[in-house]
Amino acid sequence: MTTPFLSTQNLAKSYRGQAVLEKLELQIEAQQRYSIQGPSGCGKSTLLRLLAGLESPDAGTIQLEGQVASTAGKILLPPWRRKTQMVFQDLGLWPTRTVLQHVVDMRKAGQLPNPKAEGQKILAQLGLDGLEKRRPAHLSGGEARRLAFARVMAMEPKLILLDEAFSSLDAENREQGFQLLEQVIANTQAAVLLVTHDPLEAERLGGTCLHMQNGGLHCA
Amino acid sequence: MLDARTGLLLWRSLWMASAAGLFAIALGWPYAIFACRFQFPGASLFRMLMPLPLLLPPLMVAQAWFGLSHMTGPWASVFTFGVCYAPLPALMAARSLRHQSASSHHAALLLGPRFALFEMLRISFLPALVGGCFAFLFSSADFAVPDYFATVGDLFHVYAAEIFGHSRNDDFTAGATASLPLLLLGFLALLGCAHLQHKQNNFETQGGPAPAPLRLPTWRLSIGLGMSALLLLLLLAPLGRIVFETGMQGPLSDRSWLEVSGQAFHDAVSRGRADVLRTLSYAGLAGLFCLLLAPLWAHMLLHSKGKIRMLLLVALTLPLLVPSVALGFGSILMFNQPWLDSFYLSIWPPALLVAGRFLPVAVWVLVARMSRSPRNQEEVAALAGCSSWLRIFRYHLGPMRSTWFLAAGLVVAFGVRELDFAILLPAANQSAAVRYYNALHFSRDNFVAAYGLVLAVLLFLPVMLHAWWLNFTQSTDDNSLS
Repeated sequence: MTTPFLSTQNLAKSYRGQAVLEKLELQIEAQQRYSIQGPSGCGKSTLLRLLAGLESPDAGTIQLEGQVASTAGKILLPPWRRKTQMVFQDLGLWPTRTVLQHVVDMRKAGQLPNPKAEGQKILAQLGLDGLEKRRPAHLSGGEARRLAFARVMAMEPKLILLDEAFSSLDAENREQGFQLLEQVIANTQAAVLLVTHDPLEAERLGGTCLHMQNGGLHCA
Repeated sequence: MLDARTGLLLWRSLWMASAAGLFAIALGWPYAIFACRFQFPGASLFRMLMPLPLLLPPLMVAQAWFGLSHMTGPWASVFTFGVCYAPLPALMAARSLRHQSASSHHAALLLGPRFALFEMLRISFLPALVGGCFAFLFSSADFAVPDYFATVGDLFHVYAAEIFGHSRNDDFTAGATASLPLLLLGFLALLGCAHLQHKQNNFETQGGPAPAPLRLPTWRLSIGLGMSALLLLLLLAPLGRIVFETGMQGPLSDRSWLEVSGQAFHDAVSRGRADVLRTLSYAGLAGLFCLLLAPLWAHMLLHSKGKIRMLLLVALTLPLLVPSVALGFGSILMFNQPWLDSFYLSIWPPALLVAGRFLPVAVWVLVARMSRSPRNQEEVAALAGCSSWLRIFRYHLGPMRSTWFLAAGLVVAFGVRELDFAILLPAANQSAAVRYYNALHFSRDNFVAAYGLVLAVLLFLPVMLHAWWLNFTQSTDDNSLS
């Protein structure tokens, strides 16, 4: 039996005394696709933040490649050592950095070779060539989304977390977003975990569909 | 006006003010970043204390640091100004850090704390620079601190003292004319700041959650110690020295420190009461003006765009950046008319000056708070047919009364602290700041220190009351939730 890339045991998190996640169990295998559906405020984004190491759980553990990454109240493996990248709903681009600096920063942080040359290659692949010197405020919505995915691609992560990354888009742009994601997955061979409130998005991604209810996960 | 001596004075003022601005950035910028965005013991206390050094009269800080280190000369003035005005870059940077998008911070954090820190530095650099520009302008227009260090050490002059010197021979027109270079400098700096702020707007997000403070367990202690050292430099050391000076006595005295200090405070209250009350009367009146005017200005700024907004900003901020001495000369020239005698000698001119000069402070405080409240609250009231007046004062300001009163309280505090035009205007001559200035120049007894501390308590009061009220309402909210 192989060790899953990521697994959680009895994960729990509460805010102001109200339980958001309770005894949550999840296993993510390498290079697989997962989606979690659930209504707004059910704790989907909280789960992603716990998996990314941006917050610590109140109880339970998170293991990454067999190593304990987070346990009750503690983050043992910091976010930057988890080989995980995240695409946020509002993209989370760095307003002071240019398009090229976004990808170069990622490759430098990951100590990957040829940050600039590879960065330019990635930008060209995602149709951002010619925009290298622009800052996010001067990009269109579609360009900004491409940059968010280029940033993820530059890091070559093993797990990509998508936090309602397509929720605010119309059908056409959503499809373009998924095509972009397919491109990134093909390049990085990463596992993907998408959280969404839209069943159509989960269906479009494919892979394992899970449903979040009462703080736990169930197969959809 | 452009002779060699004047040129030399201007040059000296400019380099001193530039050095003070840079020093203020060096102290205030890291203070804001660590206090606002890092987790360490007492971080909230450091955030609360951030604006306090700005409320201390620079002359009092100069007195304290001279007592502590015996430093004198231009560099002592630079140091004092840097310490006094460090909260300006700190507050500006803190504001921008609160407006950083949480997700962009988290995206940087996924790369490492170094990247998260760089992103904080980048996002807060321009605001810190704007704060440094303000520190530069205030330093270049201050004559009292260089004058003090020139009195206790080697003689040197600055350009602001040259302007003030015209009051000694009652040549107010020459004084107003001599203020023009500093006025021009203020205007240019304001345009520069407006440009930087316009650029900064692209980097900030409105609404949404603020990023959580960064947790670096291994660095907690070092950050706490570094911040304590900064706070010692900015606030605790000068205040501690002044407290010590209240009970300082000669070697032949047989009284205890407590006895001497108690007597000094008794003297400060009994001898200085009338001046404090007069100061509070005109500063309080100015506060009342701003209580009414600041929300209207804030509302106009929040609802205007492009060039109109820029014009409003420049018109609002200019009185704050004009040398205070120049405002004093201007008022004398305008109001010192035979038919305006009773008005000229009343508390109205200083009250109007304080209100006009410090209204921007009140407006900024309100704009920062009002921009965080959802716009649709007001829009719903508009749809219900409420008048603009009701919309602003009931629905917009209603939930933020403590900030509203803080804004007016800060105007009162800055009015109490104001020395430069108070020396010039007869109606403000018998004020707390002028008495402190005179007492410091004519003697260095315990009274001066005790009087300074009484003033400091008055100046800190609005910020402390606001912090207490916020804690009180927050704990009440928490209790009702649980």
